[in-house]
Amino acid sequence: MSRRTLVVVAALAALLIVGGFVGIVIATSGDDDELVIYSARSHYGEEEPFETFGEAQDVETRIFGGEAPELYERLRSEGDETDADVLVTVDAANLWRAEQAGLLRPIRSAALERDVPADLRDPKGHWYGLTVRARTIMRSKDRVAPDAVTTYAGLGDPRWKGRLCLRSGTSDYNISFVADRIAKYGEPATRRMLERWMANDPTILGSDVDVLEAIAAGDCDVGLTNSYYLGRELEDDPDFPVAPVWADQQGRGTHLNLSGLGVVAATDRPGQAKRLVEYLTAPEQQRVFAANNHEFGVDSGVEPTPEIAQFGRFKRDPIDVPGAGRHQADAVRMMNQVGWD
Amino acid sequence: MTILVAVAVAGPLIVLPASFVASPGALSDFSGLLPNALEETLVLLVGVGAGTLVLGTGLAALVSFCDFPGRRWIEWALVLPLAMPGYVFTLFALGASDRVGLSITTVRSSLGAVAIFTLVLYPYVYLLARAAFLSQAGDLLEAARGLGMSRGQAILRIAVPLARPAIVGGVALALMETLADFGTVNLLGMQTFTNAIYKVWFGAFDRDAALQLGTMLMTITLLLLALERFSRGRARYGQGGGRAAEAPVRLRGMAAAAAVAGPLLLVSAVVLAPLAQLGVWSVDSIRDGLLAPEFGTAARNSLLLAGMSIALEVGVALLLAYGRRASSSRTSAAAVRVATIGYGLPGSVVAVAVIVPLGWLDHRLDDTAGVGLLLTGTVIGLFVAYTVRFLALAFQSVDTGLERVPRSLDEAARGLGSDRLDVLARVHVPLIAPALLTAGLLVFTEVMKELPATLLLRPLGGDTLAIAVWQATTESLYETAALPALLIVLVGLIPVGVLIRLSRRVAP
Repeated sequence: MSRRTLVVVAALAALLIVGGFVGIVIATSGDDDELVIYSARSHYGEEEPFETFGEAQDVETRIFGGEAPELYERLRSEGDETDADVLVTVDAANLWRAEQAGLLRPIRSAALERDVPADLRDPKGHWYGLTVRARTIMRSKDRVAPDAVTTYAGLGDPRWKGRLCLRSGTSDYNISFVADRIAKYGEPATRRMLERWMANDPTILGSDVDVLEAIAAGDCDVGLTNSYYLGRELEDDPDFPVAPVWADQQGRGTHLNLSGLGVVAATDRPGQAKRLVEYLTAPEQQRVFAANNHEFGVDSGVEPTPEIAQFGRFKRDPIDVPGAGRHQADAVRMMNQVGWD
Repeated sequence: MTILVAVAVAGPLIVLPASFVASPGALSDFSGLLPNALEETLVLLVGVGAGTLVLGTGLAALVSFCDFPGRRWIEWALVLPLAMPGYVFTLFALGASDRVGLSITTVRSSLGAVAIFTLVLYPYVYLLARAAFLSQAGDLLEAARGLGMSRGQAILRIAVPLARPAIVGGVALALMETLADFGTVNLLGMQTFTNAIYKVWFGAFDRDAALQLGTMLMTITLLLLALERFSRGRARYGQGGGRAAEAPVRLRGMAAAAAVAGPLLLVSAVVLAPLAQLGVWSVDSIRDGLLAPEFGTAARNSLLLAGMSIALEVGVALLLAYGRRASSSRTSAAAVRVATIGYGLPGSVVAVAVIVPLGWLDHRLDDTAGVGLLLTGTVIGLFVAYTVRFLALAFQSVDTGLERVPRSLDEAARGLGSDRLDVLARVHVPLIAPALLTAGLLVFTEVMKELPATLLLRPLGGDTLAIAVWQATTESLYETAALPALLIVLVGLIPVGVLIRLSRRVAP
């Protein structure tokens, strides 16, 4: 190689870096006219209501996905300079944390107060529920009678020894569930319940879908999952042999976590951001969310999909957002101590 | 210069130990997680270390010292698992376990994790050991046989010990990959350090405690590196000239059949079967219209980022390697070590370590110049993270290449009137071109697979294929995940193919 070639190669490499960099910056900078939504909902980009809002309001929307804790770090780092206008999470705890860190701005309107029940929104209006998810008991239709287990505590009955499947303790849904129990029933009662669960030697699996499929395959009889995963299985196969048990109907009701959203404090377009929140929580779009992912609307009047509706209505026990938020760390510790890996 | 580069690359990692100062007691709240994390991490390290050592060295010895039908094909087929990301193979293994009669709990165990990591990581050991075997002088083995050793004894007692630096180097790379991994251990439910970091950070919202756990992980990485150094000791393993390696022994009958069937079975299980499954799912997803959103953009972004990383990482690695060659001081050697520790850290920890100082700098820049967020809002932050994370990979390769060039050659060229640039252009670059290419290709595949740092630091609209896979798998939508995953593996096969061609040319 001559020195000329070397210089040319080096120059080309430098050009590639600089050119590629400029290219990406241009390609990704978009225009300032768009409404930017930081979303932890993993279907981002596919969800109709976000798109139809853009069309209805004649505004470009851009959805930027990620895990809630990472979106939070990013928002905090970006501060006043953030491009984000709206933050969407899949669980209450992350909304609570964003509010605590001052990342969300309060909004209020008659429409929001009408469409979102008081227990599914922040009293000051920092965040609103978007959809709710029921985390409840799942049973094998073939091997477990509908009334064999009716409460969360009932999963600790020795009859389920070796027959209980749970998702791993790393799952946010499980951590939020335990944190909510600690907030409502106190630490000793929650610990007793988890210890009884663990005494049944539960099979720990990687996802809610694995839990449902393990029940269907006969590897376990009962489990704990979000109901919309069952909705999806039933959509593929109406004879899928698993049914939900709406837990704790004689008590507080079935645990509900919520996917929610709030307007970013440093937004440049608060008006549009607020209109998006109103649009998404209005009954019309709530029906679309429920229909597309088998979730429940924030208003219990929104009809779920037939796959879920066939199991009847139930008493809801929405997550205590600030309470659960404060007890997240306690939940992680407790799950580790009782051996929920 | 070396020190400057090292500070720039490793500087952000100071955030990790700094968390002990920022909130001293944070970790004590989660000390219950530690015994388990230490134990399972250790089990993984020992298991994967032993597994890759035996499998990688054994296969390398097989193809280097024996001849059997199809050897030339098998020799390169054994490198293919390098293109298979651990999390993709795990998804496949979990899905396929039923069909081969393994229960899912067998796969989701320490043993399953060790097996999976061994199967996808052994090529690091295999590649390095094979190169070492092929460059060994045949005289030595011949002498050993003359002294009454059997061929097997000669390989075990002469060839393998001589190849020790290469083998240990390969095992060290495999172990660092294992330490940094989150996707696979999460799918398998292993309670390792990375898992504890995620629980504390994402579950309990305690970033400082998570960074403190990250510091401990960094310490383990440093220990590993020290161990690797220590194992080399002061011994030198150079072997001057001599005749080329002894002609391989021809296997016959059952031995030949086993030598063909074993590797073929291995590669089918680790690469072909998952590819077939991904292919079927991809077809399903296309038929059902379940394509990941903005799939084309994601593919373009992946290629651009990976391509640009080649130029960047190899350039920086070259700078470091030259710095070390120019001065053999202890400081520059230490600086190089420091610049490469990021390889053993999970991407998300590196990402936070990058976003904290860069974000701060960014706001100061914005305050003075009013330019908006220039560093964290663009690909610059992302490239910083990639450099912290993958520099070790490029450096290892470039440095080994450069070490093989005798210094006397530089002096001779200078004596003949060439200046430094001339020596670089006409002596070094041609001699280390294969090493540079290897470095670039390794970086390329890694960036294609990288997820956590990309997730946190990418610019708006900068989604990649790995992100498309993640997005679908977190909701257990495996069909939607299949096509981007398939593309990652297929694109990853290209550099592996080039690597193989290269190593053939180098081989005698």
